[in-house]
Amino acid sequence: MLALDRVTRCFNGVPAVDQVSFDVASGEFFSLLGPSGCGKTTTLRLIAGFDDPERDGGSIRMFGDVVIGKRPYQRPIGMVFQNYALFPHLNVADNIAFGLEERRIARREIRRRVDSALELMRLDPATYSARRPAELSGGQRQRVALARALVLEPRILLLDEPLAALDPQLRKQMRLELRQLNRTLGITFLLVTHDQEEALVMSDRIAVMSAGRVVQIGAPGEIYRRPRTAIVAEFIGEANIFQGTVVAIADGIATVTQSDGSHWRAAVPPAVTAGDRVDIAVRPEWHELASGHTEVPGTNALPGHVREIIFLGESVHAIVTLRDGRDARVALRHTGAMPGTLPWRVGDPVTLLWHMYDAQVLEQ
Amino acid sequence: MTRFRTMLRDALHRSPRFEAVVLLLPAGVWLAIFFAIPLGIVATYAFRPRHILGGVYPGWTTVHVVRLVEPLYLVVLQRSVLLSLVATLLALIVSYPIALVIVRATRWRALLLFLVVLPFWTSFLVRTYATIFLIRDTGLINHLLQAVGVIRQPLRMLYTPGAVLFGLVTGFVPFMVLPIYASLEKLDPALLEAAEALGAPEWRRFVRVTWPLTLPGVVAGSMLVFVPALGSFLTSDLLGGAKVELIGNLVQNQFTSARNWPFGSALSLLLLVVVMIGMLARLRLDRTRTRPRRGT
Repeated sequence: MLALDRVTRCFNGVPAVDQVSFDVASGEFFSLLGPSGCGKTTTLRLIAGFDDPERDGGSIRMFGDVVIGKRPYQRPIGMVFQNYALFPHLNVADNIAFGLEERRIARREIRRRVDSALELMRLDPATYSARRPAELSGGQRQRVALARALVLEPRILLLDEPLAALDPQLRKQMRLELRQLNRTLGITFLLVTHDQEEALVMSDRIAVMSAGRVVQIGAPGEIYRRPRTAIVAEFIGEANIFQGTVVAIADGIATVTQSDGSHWRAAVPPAVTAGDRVDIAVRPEWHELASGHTEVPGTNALPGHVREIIFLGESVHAIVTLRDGRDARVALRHTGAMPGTLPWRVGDPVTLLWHMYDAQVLEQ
Repeated sequence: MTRFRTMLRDALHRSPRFEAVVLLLPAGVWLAIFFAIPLGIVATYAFRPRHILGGVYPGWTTVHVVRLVEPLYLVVLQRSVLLSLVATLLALIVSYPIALVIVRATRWRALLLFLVVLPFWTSFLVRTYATIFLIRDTGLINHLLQAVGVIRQPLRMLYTPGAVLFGLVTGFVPFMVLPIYASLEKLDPALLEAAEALGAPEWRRFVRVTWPLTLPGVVAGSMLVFVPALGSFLTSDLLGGAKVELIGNLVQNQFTSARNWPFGSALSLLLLVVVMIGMLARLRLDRTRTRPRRGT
């Protein structure tokens, strides 16, 4: 439906978007996620048509048609801008009517469609039509921006950091609303965000970008649970990264040796072969802590001591300093544990434990 | 001294209004001495009997103000307003594209802005004389045209209304470019992209987004051109050869060769009233524009 094939765009000879390929299905909520400067916004602008790829810089297709060289309004897209880009000199109704007027639609029809777009965004037309953008709250502006894009009935809605300007409470609410909107309208949503939580909550699939490339595409759970590279593991959620050498692989589980000679087992992607030096990612909540220095059969273990206990409200984190001097973060299952009631205190010897399926060998 | 300073600081902190008064004091004193008092003198002189050698006699009269409505002077006023309006319009037509080019130029922006301001480095008088050398019968333009063979007889350009208009427009273009540039520079490019995504091609984007949002700059620039153009006398004197009489020339004449100070004052007041009407119209326009419009 929307297909990018090896799309490349350079600025001053440096690729900002480098051989990016992905397919988005009809009605899918697809996110481009990455830190600032990773090329996600440039990719969105290429899809929108504000910019075009290099000559021989790949192709962009929408519903089978190559759209490169077409103006944004010749593409079946709607766009919501980062700071909404509402026209300050027009009231809410005129903002939403802007695109309809450009399409020379009859006045009465425009009015009807503007009102229904406002109602879709749960804004009362009688109250809000005549207001200027300056007279609206951030959340209301967001809704008007969505109404303005959706009133033209695009088949793909492009969203450039749409929630970045909202306060945290409203942001959480709008995430769910956008998700809902995607389901009820049945059109494709393409979101650009640097907020991993936002991408995880809303998306059907996420493309994680870094340095102009797509490093992993997958469903949120898959990306979180099976990060392919250290970049993905560290950008989405938190991860403790350990080093080792693969000695054997069987049934998707690798045996990895440490510098101290101990053996671990961890899930492994197909690209890794025996003999490789690898990083292993473990999420803080996949670890368990045991008092003293213990060994549990079938479980990976690392001895260390508690350096810090951090109370975060919904969970408690412990920072454990390992024997090699490095720190690992452990999220403790929240069983009503308060910092004072934990069985360990700062300085106590502990063992970091985790199951072999809860460790992921990363591609180098 | 230090006690006085702390007292002053406390007072400033306690009352924002007092602070405002203190901050505005220097400008207020300046304006009172060099603007309000002279203006008051002009206003009273307009109602004094004329002294034949210049200056006025004590006493009061309305003859000068009544004389203003004589057709002779109204024609001059009308001509001045018309010429200034045309000059403003031409300056706008010349300046808006210049401002657009400067805003779009990223590398050369500083240089282009410098070039716009460069004419201010020489006096207006010098620039006007330079224009004479350019457009007179034996001037550069006529020489070139004759050398190329386009014309045989020199074109009559100097001492025509067109020359005055040319002088006014070239003289005041920077005053138009700068405010328009400032408002274009503030225009969020995302608004133009939004308009494009909504289906507006380039020309429609200009009409529906760029123009309305830069209108404050256009209005400011127009005032900065129209007002001085209306009061100008040097340009019409030098480039119009005293054949194109404007209200500015009339005022100048009354105070110099005609030695009729009261009538010159009355003419000045008339000019002031015309400008004030323009300003008030602009304020009115601003107020209707900031008032929320009814929904469609």
